[in-house]
Amino acid sequence: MSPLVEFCDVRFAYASSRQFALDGVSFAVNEGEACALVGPNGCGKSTALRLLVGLDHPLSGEVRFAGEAIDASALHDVRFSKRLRQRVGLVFQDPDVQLFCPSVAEEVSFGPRQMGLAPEEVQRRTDDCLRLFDLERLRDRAPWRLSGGEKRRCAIACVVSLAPDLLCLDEPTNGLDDESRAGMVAFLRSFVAAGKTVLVATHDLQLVSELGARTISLARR
Amino acid sequence: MLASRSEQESCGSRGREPLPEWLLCGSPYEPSTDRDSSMRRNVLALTRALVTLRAEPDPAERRTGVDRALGGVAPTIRLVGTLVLVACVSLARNLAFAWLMLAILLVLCAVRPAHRIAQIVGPAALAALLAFLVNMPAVLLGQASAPVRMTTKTFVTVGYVAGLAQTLGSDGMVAALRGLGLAPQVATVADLALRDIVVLGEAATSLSEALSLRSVGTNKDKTASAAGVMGAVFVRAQRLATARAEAMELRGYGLGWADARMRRRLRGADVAYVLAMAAVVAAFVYLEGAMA
Amino acid sequence: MHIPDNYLSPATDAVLAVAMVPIWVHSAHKVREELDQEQVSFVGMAAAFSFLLMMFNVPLPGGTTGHAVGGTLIACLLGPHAACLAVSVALGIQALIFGDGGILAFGANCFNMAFVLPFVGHAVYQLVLGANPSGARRAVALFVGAYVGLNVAALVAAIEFGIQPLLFADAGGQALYCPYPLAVSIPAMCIPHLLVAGVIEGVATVAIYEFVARVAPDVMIRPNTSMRKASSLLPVAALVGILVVATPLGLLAEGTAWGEWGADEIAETGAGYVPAGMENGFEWEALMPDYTLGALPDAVAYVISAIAGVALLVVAFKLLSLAARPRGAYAG
Repeated sequence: MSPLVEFCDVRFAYASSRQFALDGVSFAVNEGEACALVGPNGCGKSTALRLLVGLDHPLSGEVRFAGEAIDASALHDVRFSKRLRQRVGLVFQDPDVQLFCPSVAEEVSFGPRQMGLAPEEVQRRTDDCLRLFDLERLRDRAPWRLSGGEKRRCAIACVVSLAPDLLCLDEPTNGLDDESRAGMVAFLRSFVAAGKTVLVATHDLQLVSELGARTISLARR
Repeated sequence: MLASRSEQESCGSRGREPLPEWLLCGSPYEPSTDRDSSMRRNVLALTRALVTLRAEPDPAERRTGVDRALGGVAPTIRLVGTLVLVACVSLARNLAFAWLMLAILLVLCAVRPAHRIAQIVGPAALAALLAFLVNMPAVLLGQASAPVRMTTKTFVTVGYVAGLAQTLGSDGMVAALRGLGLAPQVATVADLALRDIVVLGEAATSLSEALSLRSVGTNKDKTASAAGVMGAVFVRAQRLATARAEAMELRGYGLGWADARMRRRLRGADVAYVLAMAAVVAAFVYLEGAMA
Repeated sequence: MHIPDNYLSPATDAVLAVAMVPIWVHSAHKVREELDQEQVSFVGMAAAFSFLLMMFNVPLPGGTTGHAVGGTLIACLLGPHAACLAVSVALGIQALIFGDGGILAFGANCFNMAFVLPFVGHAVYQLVLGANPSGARRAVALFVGAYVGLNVAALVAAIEFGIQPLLFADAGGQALYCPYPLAVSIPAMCIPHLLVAGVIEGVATVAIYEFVARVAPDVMIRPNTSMRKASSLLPVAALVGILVVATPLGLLAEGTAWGEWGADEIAETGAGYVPAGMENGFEWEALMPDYTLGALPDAVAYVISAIAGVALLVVAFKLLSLAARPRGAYAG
């Protein structure tokens, strides 16, 4: 069976920089796997996740998801890009720049409402996600009033409510206390056990071992 | 806030509860073809522009010979030199001097990388276009030379100022102003404001990207989403400002300590630059006199 | 070979200008496809060579002057489509700023020097080059291609001149525009180009091409776009600088090129009258007419013109390169 995610000799440089953020990177992630992109700061972990969801496009090489190439022309097809972003959920490193709705409940329900689901289904998904990430008592609170750890859980919840096949997380355990961290790890393990795929960009090797993830090392240029 | 023991237990067990069915085997999603709203795309474009139009020197970029030579000159002297040049170009009655300075500007641009040229030529061309439009009525009055003169002078002067801003960067500009006696508090505020614009631009870009990543279907209230992004940026700005004010206070800012500006000695590069400016003024005097 | 205004009828100008539009559009598409950012940037420097070559006037038999164009050089370095754009931009700058070549005749000048010259020159070059050429064979191919390209362009220009009296004359039989028929224009233009200007074009093309191939092979277009070894543009820039400083040599050749006389000069050249179209024709006030600048000595103004022209071309193509794909990016 072909891999769910493939990076084939990908090169990428940000417009403002002459240095390549990724220079000839190749790796694959299979369905139902937990994988971790590891490496020092500045080695391109976050960049690789951005390329996967089409926020940026490689200068050369190919990024594939479920056998389909992710590039500018593919994303021009509105339906393709929406389907991609429903199937691949990306949680940024900084949860502050992920939350833009007036309350936590609206934040979590934003995605399902977009998908045109029935109101009961939207409500069900919202309640489930709030419960999964221990946000029930915060449902009416404004996101900017949350603590750092609460924001991170909220950011993950509002991506999980889309029911993605692949969950991409950028440094998911930053700023979490032990309890929240344990809850996060348990969720991710259940997610993978149910046949879904997780790709984590992290320098937290303990998380990698707790998830039982296969590591993909990126070296800094 | 410490949780009670029972809450801790239930939190601990929550993570191990089975995942809901919709998450495990959701049916394949068929999205609509509803396009992103132009407002959101415009917000994204605007915030990206805020970040990229900032013509800061990039330490990772290879500096050209011209930049290295100019980099050794004190920012204050460069600022004064540029102002003198702008004054000469503006005062020139015939165009010979302006063309000469335009030729020099083009040569200084020609050795730079393409995106740096765009950062100089872009604002200059825009300003020149505005000047041309403003002077268009002169053509109708039979004074065809006026628009040409104003357009050229505007392009040249804005071009040199943009080049100065690009090579000095916001740090250098504030340092140059401080050398001219700008009050330290004003300089600090200006400095911080310039940095904040960039930081906020980046935050707005990330928020817009997050919005686009979750816009997987039909957004019936696009305006609210765009407004949510801008609101989040505003909150972040307010937070940043508060945190910075507290940090500054903790390090003694505002207690009236002496301004610890280091005096810089005159270097060879400074002298060379002053001589070059003198040559420019001499050329101005000669061309104005010779062609009067 | 720069055709001034009022030598060709407006109809001729219009036809040739309209003919150039699809050529420019097609060339822009091809350049976008074939060249990456660094190469498009280099087109500016190649255009600078062309611009400078056109400033070096050489005396020709018959008392007129001529100059090389360098179109085939650019075509062999970067492809004929890039040459078309480069020479067009250089001609545009010469027409607008320096009054060298007409504004209305811009289309005609581009047709001759930016289309016919590089495409014919490049085709001949490829023909002579063959497969697996040696260094000597390449030099021969370059010379022959440049020589033929320039002369075919000169022939086309001569035909454009020569048909004017046939097609556009007043009631009294006097030509409205160029007064010299084909029997005069063709030998007058072609012989000097065949004997002198073509040779100069060939020699300059070979010399500059070999120089660039040795110091900056990175920016040239080749059949196999695989690994290129790193190179430096500094020597090329130095060569441009040397040529800029040497441009006043082009002032030594006195006399105007054939077919570039002003309305005041044409009566004495043998026509005996000033054609009506020239007397009352379109006048463009260039900023630095004939590369002069007010009271400045000619040589100084010539060098300043050269500097300004070169800088403008380099800046223009560097800005255009922002629209090209970055080096290392896949095409299409």
